[in-house]
Amino acid sequence: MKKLLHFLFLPFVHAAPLSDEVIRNTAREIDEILLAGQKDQKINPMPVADDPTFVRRSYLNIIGRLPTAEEAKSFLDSNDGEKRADLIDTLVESPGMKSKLFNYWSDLLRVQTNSETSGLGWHVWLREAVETNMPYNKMVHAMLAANDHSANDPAAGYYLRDRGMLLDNISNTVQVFHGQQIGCAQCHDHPFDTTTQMEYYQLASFLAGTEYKFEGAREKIKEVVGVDVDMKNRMSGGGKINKKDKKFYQKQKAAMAKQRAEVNRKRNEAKDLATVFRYHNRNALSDNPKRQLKLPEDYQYEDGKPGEAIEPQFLFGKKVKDVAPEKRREVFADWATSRDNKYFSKVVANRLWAYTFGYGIVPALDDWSNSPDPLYPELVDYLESAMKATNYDVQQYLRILYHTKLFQREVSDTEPTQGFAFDFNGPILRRMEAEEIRDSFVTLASGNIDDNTNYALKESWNNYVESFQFVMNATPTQIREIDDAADKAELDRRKFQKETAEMRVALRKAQESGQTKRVQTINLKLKELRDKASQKYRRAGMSDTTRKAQAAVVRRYSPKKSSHSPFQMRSSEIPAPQKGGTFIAEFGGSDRETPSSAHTEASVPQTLRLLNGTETAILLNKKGDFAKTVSKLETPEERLEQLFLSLYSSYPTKEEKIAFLPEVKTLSSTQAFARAMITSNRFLFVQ
Amino acid sequence: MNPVKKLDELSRRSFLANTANTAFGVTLGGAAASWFNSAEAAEAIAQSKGKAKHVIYLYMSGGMTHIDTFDPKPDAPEAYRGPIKAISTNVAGIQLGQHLEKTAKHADKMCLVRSMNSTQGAHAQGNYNVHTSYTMRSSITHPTLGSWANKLEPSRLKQTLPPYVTVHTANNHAGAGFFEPNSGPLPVGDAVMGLQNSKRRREVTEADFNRQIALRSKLDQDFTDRFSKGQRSVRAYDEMFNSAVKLMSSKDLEAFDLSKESKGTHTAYGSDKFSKGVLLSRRLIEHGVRFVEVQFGGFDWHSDNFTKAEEKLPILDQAYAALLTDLKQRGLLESTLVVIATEFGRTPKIDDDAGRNHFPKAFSFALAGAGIKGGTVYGKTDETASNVITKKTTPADFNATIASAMGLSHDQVVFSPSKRPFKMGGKEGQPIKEILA
Repeated sequence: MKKLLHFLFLPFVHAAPLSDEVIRNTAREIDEILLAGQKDQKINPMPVADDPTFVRRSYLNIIGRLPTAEEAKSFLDSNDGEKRADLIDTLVESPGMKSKLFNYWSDLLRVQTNSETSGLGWHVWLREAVETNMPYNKMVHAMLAANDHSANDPAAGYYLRDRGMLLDNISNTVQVFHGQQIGCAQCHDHPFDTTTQMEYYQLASFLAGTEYKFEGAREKIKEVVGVDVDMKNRMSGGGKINKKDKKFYQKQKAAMAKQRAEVNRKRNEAKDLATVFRYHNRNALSDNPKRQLKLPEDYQYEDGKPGEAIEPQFLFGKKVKDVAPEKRREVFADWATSRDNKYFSKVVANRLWAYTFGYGIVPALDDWSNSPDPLYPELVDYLESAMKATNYDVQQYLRILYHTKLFQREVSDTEPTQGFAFDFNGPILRRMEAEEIRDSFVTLASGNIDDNTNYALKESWNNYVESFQFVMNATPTQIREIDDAADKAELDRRKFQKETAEMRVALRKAQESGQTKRVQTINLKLKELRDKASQKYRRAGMSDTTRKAQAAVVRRYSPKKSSHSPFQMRSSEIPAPQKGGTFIAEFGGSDRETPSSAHTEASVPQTLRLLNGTETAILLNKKGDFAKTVSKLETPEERLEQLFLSLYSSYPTKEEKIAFLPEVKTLSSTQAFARAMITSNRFLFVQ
Repeated sequence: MNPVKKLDELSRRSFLANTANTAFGVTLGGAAASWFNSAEAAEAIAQSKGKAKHVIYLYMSGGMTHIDTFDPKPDAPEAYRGPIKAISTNVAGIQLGQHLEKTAKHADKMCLVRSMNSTQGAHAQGNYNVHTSYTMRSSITHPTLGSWANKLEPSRLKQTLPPYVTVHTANNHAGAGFFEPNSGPLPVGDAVMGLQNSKRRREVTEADFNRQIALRSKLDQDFTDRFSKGQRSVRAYDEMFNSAVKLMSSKDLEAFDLSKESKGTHTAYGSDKFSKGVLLSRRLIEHGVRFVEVQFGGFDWHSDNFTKAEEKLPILDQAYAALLTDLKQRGLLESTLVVIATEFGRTPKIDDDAGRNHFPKAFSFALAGAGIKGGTVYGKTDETASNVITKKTTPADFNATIASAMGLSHDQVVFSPSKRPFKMGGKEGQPIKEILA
């Protein structure tokens, strides 16, 4: 490492920003390393971008939305020499930064808000982690060490995301946090890398104890009923059978029969009560020290036998010996997130560089072993030290990057060449992310709504956790009551399904034979049935106990309605992933299926949506801020300026005025002009 | 997004050549095919050796029961057979479940594969395996058949429609997988609503619209001058913009407009949303779309199997039969392969809720039309449809067969961005030569 960092091992105060001096010095070091490297390669860095470019880019890159016209104007009109640095610091401290970061992590980690109740918990936990700027290493460690029911430890959502797919989960962990692709090695030695199948299994062994069970449920039932659900039919007591004494024998037989019947009754009751906890297991994670991972039956290499039990071993770094079975998970989490781990710090430093500038110093963010060599290896090392020196403070690390000269330069004219490292003569031109486009539209229509958190999600989760605790602490009588209600609800549900199915058959027959009156009658009946089955109706008949338990007992707990209307919330506040056909999905928003699945590829439905869709229409609807403001302006000059400031974050140049003033003579022609701007590449792309 | 991740070896080389890309897909080998290049003729398609130029893939989501539909066992005990009777078809020796009476008249066009077998008994995993020929992994998403078809043989028909369309598919459709996202399908959310946003808004006059298009170019003048040459994404957006505008005024757009069909046709197919989807698929392939998938949800009959069968199967029966009749009448059946698939079958032994549960051990798929031998049955299950006795067929084998029917290679290797090799027929799928025409 050529240069020492000016600050090493700050005291652990994760919420405190670093001093301006430290930030500027570190940023300057980065610039100097880059410049030295570029000089060697005979590369000319791009000039510093003008104010309009800078303000638009800063808002989008740091807080994920366009600046409002006022925000842009305020920046452009200021004569303060420090305005760029001040803007960066203001944006870093603002809620918008957390909103954008949350989208980023959720995409990388594949958070699905509504997949199971544990998905909701994980979402809420992660959002909180970003909100409080939890150090990255602590955040990852919490997820990798999780070992408890989601209600007790929502970070367990990371493992529950891949419930039943442990080997794939390991693949993802190593890809996301260590930038290594080892997935192939699940089945055979990796053809391109040095990871062997044995090494894969050795790493996976750390998590061999993974079980998706909740012992708490079993124990609770035992408490209520007095027998273990799994208990086999054992008879106890009665003593030796003495056939000679017939009368006694008969008595004994009767007693044993009674006892057997009693045990059976209890077993059946235990089984029945299991419905109360039926869905607890879906969100449960535990670690069984006795379980071991075994090599698959078709293992073909000489270093092990098929079916052989494997001892855990790290994939890289110093080897470990004699890991205590009950400590496997903890040891794994420690290794994965250690400061000394070869890849942990580098990989995230590189990812966040790509987050800021559009491409990694090491190009293959997920595959370091097969990546083209970076042009500035010294920078890779320096960024790693910077990440460690901030104690994994993501927001401060990013703040350093935003303060570099590179962040101020114009984007490179040419995109990175696929398969090659990039020289970073400037940042990279990119299209707005789906969430950024949406959030920009929302801000145009509603003004700055960065503060609007969807606390309904957190409330719903807390409600679930309370309900869970209530059930776990309930008395036997209460448990029985809850069970009865759950059983009844199930019967009602099946009855409802059957009745409506029969009705629908009848409905279709009536429709086909053109009996309109009968169709009407049946439709009315269907509606009646549906209303009866609806939540409202059912809840009216619930006792206090069953109401408290409900959230924990139902299959999937639906979050309460959002705290705000969609038009008043950033994308980060909305449950994800979005369904196909929605705005975000069509623009490439992450589907949360694979790490970083979000993309910015063009498609026809996107263009059609911008051209003819409701979002654009809503934007131009006078009820929203944007159109309202424009419609109140009286001169073409004012209109043109407002449009340019709102959509391009710049004042129109002299040439642009000449070209476009005629286009905004009337209000309706202004609308068409606004539409043209929204579909322009200048709007969609971030320079 | 890391662009490196999204490209495979071959595409990378073609990008280095800096060629412009098509509006709907990225072609292999660098030769750009523009949808508006009138010099491209349909000869390109004719060059393909397979008979099936089009595929209509009907996907029954939830796991369609096999013993009640395509693999009836009239001699099995009632505990398996239930109340559904077997009916004869227009092919001696082939029977179907009683709710498929219209389909029974088309058995001569169909090949029933009764020996399907898979290891994936959960919905998401089974669905995925059937669509992609691979097992679901959380570390990679594999492409679906329609995307494979585009990748292996980019369609060069003179048309303005995308080569791959899905109708009513759920969000978890694997789509393009690790191929470029725009080799994925154009999704239609509701066949009755058609292609969304394809019409100019009412409050926008045509003059305004044209003005808007012209203004956009003007606004982007400097941007284009500076970035078009060096930025593929900018070129892609310009091309996509032009494609979209042309599509809006294209005659082909009417392919999505079901109101263009006569009342008689609508009645023939049926009134259900699925029926409309099937009708739409016929229109689309008529206009040159190569691969259309139509999904029909709600087959997960864990309870009241027979009531639901009575309700749902006639819808499938009517739409499917109408489709085959329609295709035949229009002379399209000899170039169109119609598929019926599902994620797994359902347990032959009826359970306490009068239902059937997930059953990947044995199930049935159906093929009809181009490239396959009609009036045939491939594979057999035992007397209760619980085990495959002969000619076990995996979803990968089945997909390899579709590939061959289309004249595509089932085992040409394409590398993912993570440099793993994949094929249209999956890791080991082999086409069933016996049923290929």
